[in-house]
Amino acid sequence: MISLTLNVALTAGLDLAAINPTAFAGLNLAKIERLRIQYGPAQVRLADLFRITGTLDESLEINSESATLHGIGSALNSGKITLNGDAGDYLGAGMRGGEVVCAGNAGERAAAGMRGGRIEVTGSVGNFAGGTLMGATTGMKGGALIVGKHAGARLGDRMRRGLIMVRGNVGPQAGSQMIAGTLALLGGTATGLGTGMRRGTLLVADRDAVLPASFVVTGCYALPFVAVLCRHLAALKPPWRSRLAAFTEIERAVGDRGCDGLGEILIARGE
Amino acid sequence: MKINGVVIENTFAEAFPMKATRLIITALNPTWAMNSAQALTGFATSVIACGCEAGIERVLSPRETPDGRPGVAVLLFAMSTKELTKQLQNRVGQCVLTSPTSACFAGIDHGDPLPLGKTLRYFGDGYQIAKKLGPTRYWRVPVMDGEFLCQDVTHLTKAIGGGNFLILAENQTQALAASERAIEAMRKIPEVIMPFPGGVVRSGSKVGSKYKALPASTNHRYCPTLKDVVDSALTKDVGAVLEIVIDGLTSEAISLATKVGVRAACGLGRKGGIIAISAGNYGGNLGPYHFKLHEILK
Repeated sequence: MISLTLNVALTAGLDLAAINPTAFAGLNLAKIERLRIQYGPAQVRLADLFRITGTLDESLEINSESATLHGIGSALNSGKITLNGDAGDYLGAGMRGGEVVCAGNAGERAAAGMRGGRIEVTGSVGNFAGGTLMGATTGMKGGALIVGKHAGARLGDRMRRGLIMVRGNVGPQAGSQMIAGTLALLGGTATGLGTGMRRGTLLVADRDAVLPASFVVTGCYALPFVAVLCRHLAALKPPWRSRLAAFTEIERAVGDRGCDGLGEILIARGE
Repeated sequence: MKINGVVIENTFAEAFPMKATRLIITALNPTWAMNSAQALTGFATSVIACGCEAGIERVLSPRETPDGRPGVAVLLFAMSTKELTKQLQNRVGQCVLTSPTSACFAGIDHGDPLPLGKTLRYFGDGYQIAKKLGPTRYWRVPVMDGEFLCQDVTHLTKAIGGGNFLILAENQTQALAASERAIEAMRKIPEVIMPFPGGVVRSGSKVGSKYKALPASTNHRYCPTLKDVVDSALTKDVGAVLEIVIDGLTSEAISLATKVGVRAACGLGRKGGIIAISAGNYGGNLGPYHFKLHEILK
């Protein structure tokens, strides 16, 4: 495993989008040290900011005390990146495969436009996680984002496929304009759930969740699909299994009817 | 070779390659899972006229099913991928989709895909929902009791059809008793089905007929009422013959089922009226799989 340890105090944002195990393939340590990265307005060598150790394989570790390391894992196709510290914006944005583990918080648009793989953030994520990349019309298209604490506003905005699971609370308008995909919200919710939703599923543990007026409650059911989904979620994060126990029965609301949407919000109603 | 006084003839069952898949049908309770499975596997005794051969492999506990409900594993066998695809769509569409509280999952996760929910989803008339969890896609079709959940595809596997053995007894009652014992034991073996009614067939067939339109006709050499009329394969003391046909996913599974079944049938012994165990073959010209009784039972 190659290990990068930040050894300067950053005064500007650092773009690490191009730094991943695949980019290191075929390089020795000397060549890795000479890789160019964007630091604020300038390009610098990787070794100018990081102490680089270890041997080359399919994994990369980044040790940092700065929250301005942007784009980590965004070009990842395979392999694993472990970040010991906070991530900046665009963590795993657009990634297609592999795994990113962030042992801290992540900034805005984590997993934006993600297509595959798995991102796990042990802390919280900012706004628009799983949403769109700038200028894009669709958000996350595959893979899984797992958030250990809270998520900001508009989680899964315009999401088209894939899965986001949040253990803590989510900000306003989670699932806004969703096209498809699944959000599993295991903590508290805020206003505007599923605003503008066309399709997709919001699995909501918060029994007091406030539904927008443009959603129609169709009744309570024990759907086999919810059981399958909960098994899948439990397999993704076994320690959270107990939080899924109340989904034996769900209340199903369909919307957003304000835009002819057929998305669904499934609220836990089981014991 | 003899088992419990029953002669094991030195012959072999001749089987042929087939295409197969496994489905897992679940429902709210075991009764409704079984209702659906029985409907799906109905009229599927022989590819000669049913399109496929199908049967219940085993009952599944909630721990063994994808949705944590009681279930039944069924196996379907056909002579071609095209026919298996057709039978799958018709049978799941008419017998599982229609069955209250049911859901349908793939029971084999490798091999070429066979459409399942992929085609049945259109019943949802636009209200169906696709869900992809990991690599697996599901379809949720709204129906009058809630929702029909169906996996997008199941998978095809190479299989073997036509494994068999014959129970030769003094009379019909004894042959039937031995068959029932055999089937009870064989139903515990995974990866095999015995597709005929109760697992037993009394109208064993030969290839061809004096009537040109018929691909198969009665195996006259094993009909006791023709013993003195044709070149019978039966001795004078044989008064009834019953056959157990076995389809399996592997030759090992068929061999094991044959072994278990024959031993169970021989449990009645010569004193119970069981005279011999034989097997149906066509001189080795029909199928590449030969299940030799003496080798299996040694």
